[in-house]
Amino acid sequence: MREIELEVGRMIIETLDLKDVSVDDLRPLEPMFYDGLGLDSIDALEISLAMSSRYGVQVGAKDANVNEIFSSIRALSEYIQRNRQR
Amino acid sequence: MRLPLLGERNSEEWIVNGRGGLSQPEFLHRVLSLADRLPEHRYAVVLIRSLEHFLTAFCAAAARCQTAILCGDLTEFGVRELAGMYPDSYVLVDTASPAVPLESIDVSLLDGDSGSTGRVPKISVDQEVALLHTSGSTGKPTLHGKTWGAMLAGAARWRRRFGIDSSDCIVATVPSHHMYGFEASVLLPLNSGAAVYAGRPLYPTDVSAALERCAVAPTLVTTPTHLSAYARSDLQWPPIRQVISSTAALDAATAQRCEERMKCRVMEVFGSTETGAIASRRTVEGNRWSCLRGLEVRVAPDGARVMHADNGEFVRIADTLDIHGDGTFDFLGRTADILKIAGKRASLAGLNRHLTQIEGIEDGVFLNRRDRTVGVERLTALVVAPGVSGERIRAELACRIDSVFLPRKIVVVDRIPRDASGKVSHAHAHALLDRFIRRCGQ
Repeated sequence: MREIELEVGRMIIETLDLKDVSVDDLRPLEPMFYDGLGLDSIDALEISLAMSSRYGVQVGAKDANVNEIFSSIRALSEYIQRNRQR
Repeated sequence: MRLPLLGERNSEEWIVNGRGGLSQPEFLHRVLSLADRLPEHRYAVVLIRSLEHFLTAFCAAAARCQTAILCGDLTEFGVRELAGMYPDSYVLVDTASPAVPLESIDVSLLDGDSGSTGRVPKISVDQEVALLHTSGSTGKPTLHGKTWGAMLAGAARWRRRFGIDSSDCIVATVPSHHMYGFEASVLLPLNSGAAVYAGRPLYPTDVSAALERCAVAPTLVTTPTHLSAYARSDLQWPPIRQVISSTAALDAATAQRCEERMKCRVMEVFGSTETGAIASRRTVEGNRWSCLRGLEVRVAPDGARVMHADNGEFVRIADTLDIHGDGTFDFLGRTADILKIAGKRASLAGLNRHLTQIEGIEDGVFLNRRDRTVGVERLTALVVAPGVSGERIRAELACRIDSVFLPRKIVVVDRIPRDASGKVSHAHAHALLDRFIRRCGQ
């Protein structure tokens, strides 16, 4: 996993309080939603807040493909790297 | 007596969407055009998530004296089950609906159609216009029939309590097929003439953009889960007239923060699928609920009764209330095993039944863990399932239950702790789960 992916992975675990998931369990290309980690739209909302406060990245339906952004930790990390303000 | 589908005139944009919006006459044309095309059946299963298409579908079915069965987010399994219970039915869909192998009409094919002309349909107050479903204690859906008259009476109560009229605009983040969204974002705009935003925003930026699209400071209809996130967002909010929250209790700190950041009052609604909205409060003012006009609450042996003051009819609710001399009340808790997560309802017994019916699962139980102090509860499943993978269990569950009830973690154990009468010993089950978590952490 790339450094940014580890960081984003930790952010997800911390934000969603996934007590029995460690960052070593995460796979960068594994689906985050429904399959894989099993997250849903309320979790997406929580993650979007954490992204906003930590990296200054706002996500919304206007973004080309919100589903793709959240499709995996790698996709999310790449989106953050492209759009981060801090 | 017959009362019109559209209660008050609004001469501006009535459905606010990104494509120029729809006026009431345009909406009416669509409804009449769709109504002309509907097949002859008793029931119309509405499998539509888009609020704009939902409104059109619901009104067209009502105009044809059909009952709309509301089930926007059911799995295919659930839709088939419903269709089995109501054989004289067909399905109303749009392009985003899941494919179901039943007779379907796509309402989005009307978009761009100039539609038929005609008067606003009048619906008999006794007509059953909708069937809403909740998860019953057996796991099979319980359906609640709603007459047009009862729905309008509810809308009138909302109008009066929240001061909504045709100069208002409503933005909802909740689905239209559950009672809260149905009352607040379907019936209320239909009856009051208030405009309604066609989308269902989720992220703060999208909610803010939706609020800005409204011609006046709108009323935001949402839930504590959403507000908890919005309160923590650093977004600057556009003018909002008021916020309404329901489906679970809103904590005072979140309400306070939202009032400060959004610069408006934050109200809550207490209600149920059986009764619609019963009472409201302004969260920052305290815990007490005040009944909406024309409703009273009384204590009953198995919970409480909500009485209609004018005719004495009552509905039972499975809630324990502490009722004060002036008719206001405090909510003490639910009296049954009904679980609510993100505004959706399920019975734990029903969920357990789905779990144990999966082939290969010898025994299993859902546990409700409150690991977070604020936010959404999540379920964990303990299973005795030699040789069955967690992925397979999750896939089987996903066909049967709503995604918010899918277990965050599936833990395989040798035995589910049960007491002498066969009931799950929750204390032991949670302890087992704690030990598992501690082992994983090492």
